[in-house]
Amino acid sequence: MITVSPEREVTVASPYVPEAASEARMDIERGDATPLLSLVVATGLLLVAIADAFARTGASWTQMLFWTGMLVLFVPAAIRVASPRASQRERVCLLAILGLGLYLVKVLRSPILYTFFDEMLHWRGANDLLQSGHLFAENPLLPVSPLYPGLESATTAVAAMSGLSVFHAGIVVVATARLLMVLALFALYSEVSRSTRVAALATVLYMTNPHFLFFDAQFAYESLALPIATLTIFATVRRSRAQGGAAVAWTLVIVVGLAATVVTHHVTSFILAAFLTCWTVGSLLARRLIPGHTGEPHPGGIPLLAALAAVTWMTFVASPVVPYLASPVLSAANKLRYLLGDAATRGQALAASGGPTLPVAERLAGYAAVASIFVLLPIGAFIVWRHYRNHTFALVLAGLALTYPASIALRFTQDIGAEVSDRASAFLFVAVGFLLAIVVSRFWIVNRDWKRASIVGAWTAIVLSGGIIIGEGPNERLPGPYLVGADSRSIDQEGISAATWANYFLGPNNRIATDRTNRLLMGSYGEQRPVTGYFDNVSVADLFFARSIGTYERGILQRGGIAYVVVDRRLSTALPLVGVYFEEGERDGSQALGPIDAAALTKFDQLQDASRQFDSGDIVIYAVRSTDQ
Amino acid sequence: MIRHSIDLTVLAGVAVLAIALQLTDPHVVLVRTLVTLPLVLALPGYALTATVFPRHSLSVVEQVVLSIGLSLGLAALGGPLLNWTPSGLSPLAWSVFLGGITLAASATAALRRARTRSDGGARTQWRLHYSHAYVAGAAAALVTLLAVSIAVTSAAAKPGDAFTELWLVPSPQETIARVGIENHESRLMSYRLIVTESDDRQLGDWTGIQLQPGEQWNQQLTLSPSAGADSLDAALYVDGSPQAYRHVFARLDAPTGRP
Repeated sequence: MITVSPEREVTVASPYVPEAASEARMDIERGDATPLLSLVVATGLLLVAIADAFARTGASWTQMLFWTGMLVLFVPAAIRVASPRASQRERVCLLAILGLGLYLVKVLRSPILYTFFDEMLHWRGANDLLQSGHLFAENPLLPVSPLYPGLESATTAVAAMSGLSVFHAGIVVVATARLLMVLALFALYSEVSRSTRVAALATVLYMTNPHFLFFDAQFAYESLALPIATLTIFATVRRSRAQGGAAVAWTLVIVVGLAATVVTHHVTSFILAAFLTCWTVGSLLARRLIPGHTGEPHPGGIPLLAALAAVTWMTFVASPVVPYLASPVLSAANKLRYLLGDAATRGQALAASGGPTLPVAERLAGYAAVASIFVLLPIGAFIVWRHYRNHTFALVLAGLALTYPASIALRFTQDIGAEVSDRASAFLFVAVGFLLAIVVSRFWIVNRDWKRASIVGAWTAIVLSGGIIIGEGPNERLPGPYLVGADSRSIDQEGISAATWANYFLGPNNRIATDRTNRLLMGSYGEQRPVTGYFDNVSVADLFFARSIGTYERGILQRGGIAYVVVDRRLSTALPLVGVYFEEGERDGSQALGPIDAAALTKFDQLQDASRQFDSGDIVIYAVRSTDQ
Repeated sequence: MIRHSIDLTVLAGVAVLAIALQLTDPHVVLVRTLVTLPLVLALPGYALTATVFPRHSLSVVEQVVLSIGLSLGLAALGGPLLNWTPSGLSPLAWSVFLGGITLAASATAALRRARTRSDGGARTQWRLHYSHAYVAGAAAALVTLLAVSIAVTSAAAKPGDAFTELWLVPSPQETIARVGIENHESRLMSYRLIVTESDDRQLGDWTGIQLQPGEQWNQQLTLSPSAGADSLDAALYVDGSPQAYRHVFARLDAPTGRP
């Protein structure tokens, strides 16, 4: 066991927690629960692994085992972190164990290959980079991803030098990023709150955000950009309080952090610049508007630098990102306006975006989590305002946390709005976690107050469960048999094998038309060039929905330059869980129309100029003539 | 000076080793992995942190955060930077880039430490306690390994993925065609394959094709241009069933998919 000597366990008196000054003394006295709790976390992981294993066989009872494993993994360690008894070292170790433990839940879900939608997009980009040795190769699955190559660069650096596969290198890189996220958050909160207890609590509560368990653990650019952005904010806080050489040193850290964030992820770099700007503006306003404000240092020119870097990269390297980002935001705004007053959609507001109807118990847990956060946020903001209004950074966090209800309102727009709300949670919870931690730290003050400890434990269980329920639908949390149009649940060996076959026997970069899942597989494992509406302005959906191939359908083949059509007959067995078989807007009222007609999928057999070159039972590949006949 | 900068000396040694490994190109993944992971994920950041904060004014958490964060940041930035070089993002270029930063920063940090007359070690002292905690820690590691092995084993043998692939791919000139079968049924399979031309002339009838799970069977067919047939048809049968299990065809005047 590695321990930090007591002289480093100095805790500066916190303005937030009255009893925090006694932490240093208590650190030396008590035993360390880290080894025991690491065993508890591992036991939780084992339960999740068993749930995953049985879920793969189609067992129906595995959700309960999954939840048991998650609560065993999270709650005891969270209680210990929140406890006034824990030492700083213990808290840091437990945070690292919790952060990596929750990351392993995602790895156990997909331990031998990437199955999440976004992962396949970046996996294709990383493989292209590894093979070519150069950036900015076209990625038909996600055109903007090659323009933000930070994750692929770091991953291929590991893969190229070590000989590991992109999959294994990606797991190591994202795990390291996860460790950075947890420790950087703790360091940031420590700097702001001057209390390791508040800092550790806030970090634990951040882990309950809907995107922490799966979305920000996947092999995708936000998983790396967000930790680096957090480091940058931490360095900016430190720099604002440093002088002389130390300020220069922190500036160097900030420059590296800003640049790395900018080349890694568009949204994170914009939000980083916006956050730093909010801090500066908040600081200037506080000096003017709050009587007696001491004028705490602010980030100075750093927000300008951040904005300049993000805009410069976007302008000269990544200009396609503007329409890419504008489209979902405008769509969500329009839907929100339309739905004001429409109560019919509200019942499912807390379902994971694109997910099926939730069981009642899950819906209740989701509502309870959100409602408790709604109640506690104003209390936390009140504490900050009443006692610590001179601390501008804390005021900015409080202000941002109070926008959380607005992000939840977006969920009423369903689909894209819910997705935007999900995406926002990863950023907003940096502020939300802080306010909640302040409230909890003032609620549970006395050691051995078992009643309050139990309440805190039960509440963390609710907010964790609610976060997971909001973030991922039941079908996404656990693996299982193939489901139609269900993203990760639609990735199976048959689809992967067909894509691998296409790569070997047909060669790469053939223009193909297929559904959403096989597009992903053919574009990644198959290295093919899927034709899509968003990339080629050719929607292939009608080619599949039509009962026969007529002039219009031939026009699609011709305009798309399509050489192969990949048909998955399983599409006709159910409606797609994510809402579309192919692409957004594929047919009006698609849910009411029922599953796609089986005859529509077999019509290519009758096409005079098509060759049925591959058949694996469910998946058939046709070579077609795209030129006019 | 070396005594006060042992950590930096080790860093420099790993950086040199990483570059040497790329130059000699050994095919030992384990050694390369053991050297590469710290070089990408920790060492450049550690060395830079030691350079710009020579007086050890950082806590352990801050030191770890900066080491990992700066390393990941440099690895992310390395792509766009190396992309402008003639060698691109080759393994050697990566090792020179990250190893070079580590070497240069380590040397600078050692000099700065010497100038500031620091004691060379972190102010934070680390101690190892040999106690029952090791037992719990080891047990936790074992249980985690067990969880991972269960996940890997169950994912590799996921049920419901039983299928057989059949294909028929004519060459662009339509002089030959490749026909093949791959067994993914998770059991030994016995197949019969019949290939005919459109004029019902049989090109082949292969019976008793025994394939283990994951095994593949391939055959190359020579097509006769004078035969006058305009299509090929391949039907696969299993377990003596008269109904075709898989069916593919190629229209010989139809495209092969290639431009």
